[in-house]
Amino acid sequence: MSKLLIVGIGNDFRGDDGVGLAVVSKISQIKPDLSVHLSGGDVSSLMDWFSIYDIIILVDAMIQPSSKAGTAQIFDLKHHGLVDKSVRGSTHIMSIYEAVELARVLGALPDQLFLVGVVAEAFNLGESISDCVREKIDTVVEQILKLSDDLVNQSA
Amino acid sequence: MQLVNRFLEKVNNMSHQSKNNTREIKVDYLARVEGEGALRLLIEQDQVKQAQLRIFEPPRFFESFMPGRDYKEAPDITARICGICPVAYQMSAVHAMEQICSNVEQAPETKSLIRDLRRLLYCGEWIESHILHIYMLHAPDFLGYDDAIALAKDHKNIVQRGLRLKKIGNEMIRCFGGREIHPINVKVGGFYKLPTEEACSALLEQLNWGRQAALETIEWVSAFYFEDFEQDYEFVSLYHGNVYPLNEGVIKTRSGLSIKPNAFEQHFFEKHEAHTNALHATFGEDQNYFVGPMARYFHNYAQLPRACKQAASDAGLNQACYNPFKSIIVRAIEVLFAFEEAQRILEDCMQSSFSWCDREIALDLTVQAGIGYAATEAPRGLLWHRYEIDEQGVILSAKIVPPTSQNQRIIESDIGKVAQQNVMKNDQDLTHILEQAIRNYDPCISCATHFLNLEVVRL
Repeated sequence: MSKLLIVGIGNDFRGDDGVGLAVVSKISQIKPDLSVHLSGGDVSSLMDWFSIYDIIILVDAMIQPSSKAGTAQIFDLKHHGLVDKSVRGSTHIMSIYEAVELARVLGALPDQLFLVGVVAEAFNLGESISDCVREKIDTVVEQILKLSDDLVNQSA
Repeated sequence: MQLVNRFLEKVNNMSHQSKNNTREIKVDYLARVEGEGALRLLIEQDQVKQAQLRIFEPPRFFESFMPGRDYKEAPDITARICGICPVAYQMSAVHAMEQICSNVEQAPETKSLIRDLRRLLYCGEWIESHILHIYMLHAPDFLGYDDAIALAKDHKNIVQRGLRLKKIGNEMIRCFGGREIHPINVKVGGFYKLPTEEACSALLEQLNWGRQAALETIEWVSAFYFEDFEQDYEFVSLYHGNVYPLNEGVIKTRSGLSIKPNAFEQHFFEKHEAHTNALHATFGEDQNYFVGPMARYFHNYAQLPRACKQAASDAGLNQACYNPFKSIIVRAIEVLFAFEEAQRILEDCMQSSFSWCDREIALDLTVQAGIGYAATEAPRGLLWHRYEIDEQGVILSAKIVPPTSQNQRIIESDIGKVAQQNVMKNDQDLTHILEQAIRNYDPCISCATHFLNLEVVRL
């Protein structure tokens, strides 16, 4: 069976930037057998995981004013890259875009790599996740668990 | 967090208008700096009239929300100021707090071990921060690439070497700090829990490789082309007569001042300028000064290990470097120093008969009312803290002066001079050299976001 890892990325002291961490923590509670990792922001270490796991799902907050806060969008980074500039940026030391594209150039991507972007409302320092995003966390968790099941089944 | 427009093209966004003698160049986003701000350059009749570094990231109020918190919380709270140099904030905070607390007499082995392991942790931060800047942020400028991704297409092995070096720095912080970002293992007095012997042995093997890769890094960057731009800087850094400074020493200026951190506020002042949210620091009433690797190198060359001096000589550096474009070489030498120092410390500690692995090591401290001061050397330069606490250990006031705040005026001054020196270049070449020049200082504006808007106005 393919090895799967789910990575939550963010800063839990910066409002909705912590949603990736909250989602993956919840997944860890529901499915303790799944491999998960919480990243405080230095996504350069993602490349370490790329060489170990076959399937990786990244979960991070994103800004997209045209979408409702708390909704999730799924990006297939292995096959399409982040062509949408609206999701290329980052408050992290190295952005996911940079880490993924660098890994692509170096031939170091895993077999499957997905980004689940959760649309955020606010990123104020010292604040917790906004109510409208928090109430959607369970829905996002379900989406990710379904995605992970599908990916593992496809690769079986 | 993924942000809108973060990677909008930089040079591609330049607009170029010609109307009489008026030219305007705009670069909407300059990537590869740490901070949220803008640079505005005003040129009239080929004379640079003004260079302003405008930091518009809102003030973060850390100094304001610390009063009322327990003194033991200071290292964990201040670590949140920066994702790149959290160890620096932790170190300045613990040293300041320990200056206030009375110290129950403790075995010298414990004090010595804590001192050494703090230096080791700090070396990890210098490595990961300097390597990120050298390989991912600054080297692409010298080699004509837009970013590290483009660099990696042509120089795969070099970028892989940089990533592996950075990973070792991260591993050092994880090993002794508890985690890579915002470490949690540093406490006032020492460490909550030190790593196992197995973890230390594994790290030591990586340090052996890292030392050689650091030498290769120096050789690589010293072959770059450097703009001719030597300046007469007032270098300010810690000075320690026995070791290259990380956690301790006096604050020394090139002009001859040598003071303890307690006296910092008598000689260095912060002022608010209308065009920026960050305070401007001056030496005396109005003098610019320069903190960071070049200042450390100037004041502490003699304390570098022999291998670092030899590498510096081979790279063409004298005992001082006055050209900020060559700061990338000085950073590379500091990376070698950090590997040498970390290897020495870890080998010594592991050979010690004193048992320290896998347990808490900390000084016995008794809290008392007072004021504590500390300055340590963050990767970007001097980081000064002052705290006042009451007899219960409650923080009454806090003041933090980070390196980029201290370098703001010298950055503005140098950018103006670089622009003047290159004013006859076309807009694209001028913009490129200015972007490269800004990155000479590795500015960490928020201490850490990623937007700098560069605007050049020619009248």
